[in-house]
Amino acid sequence: VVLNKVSQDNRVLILCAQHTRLDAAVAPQFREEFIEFSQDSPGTIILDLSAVTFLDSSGLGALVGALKRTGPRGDLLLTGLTPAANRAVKLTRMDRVFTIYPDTATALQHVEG
Amino acid sequence: VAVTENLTILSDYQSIRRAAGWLRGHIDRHVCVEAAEDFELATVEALNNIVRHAYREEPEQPIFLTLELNDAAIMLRIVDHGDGYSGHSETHEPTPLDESGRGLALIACCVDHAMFEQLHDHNVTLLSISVDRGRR
Repeated sequence: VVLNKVSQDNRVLILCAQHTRLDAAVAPQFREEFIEFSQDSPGTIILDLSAVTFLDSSGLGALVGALKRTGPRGDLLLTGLTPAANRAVKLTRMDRVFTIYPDTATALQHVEG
Repeated sequence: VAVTENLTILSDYQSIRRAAGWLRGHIDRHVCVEAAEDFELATVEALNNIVRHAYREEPEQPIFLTLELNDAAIMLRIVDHGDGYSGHSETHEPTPLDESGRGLALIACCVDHAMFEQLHDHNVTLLSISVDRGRR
């Protein structure tokens, strides 16, 4: 299991990445599980990445896939990026593409705001 | 004083994880965390490209890694016997919503020097960082 459903209400689905590495070894499974969860999504999806201490271009690609999957119905908010994951995001300038919050509580405030 | 370490892995993504762990086990005491993470990321991207492009995800193919650490630099030489990959498979910058094509850019950012060479019957990838860049 790569993704765990933390909670869901009528506005927000919160998912949490379970693996420390989001790389080519797990990217296909991440895509499958995200598609499955997003089918029941109310719109906004918060994805907690605080467990991910290694993120490569395959993992970034899976996150882009998740963003595109969420896009038509709501927002994908990434939270809890570790320094290494944040560095991969910034080096590829994907911080301009993803909506990122320091933690899930802050992202929820934005949704409720 | 130079130290040389060798590892052979097979062409699958789980084996790349093993190579990453092996690499960190040798370089972490020589450089700061950020430099070690960068070198790991560049190495994983190079190995991903070999598995994906040179071996076209054919399993059980060998990849040979030689790590050299000395007072000035950390150098990794990766040799594969696949075909078609010379480090130039990502010829254009990906659009923001492309789901692939960022590997070479990450390699370029994460090491001081990267070289890909396609020879007669094997390919060589060289990655290096100066110890000064990653001094603890």
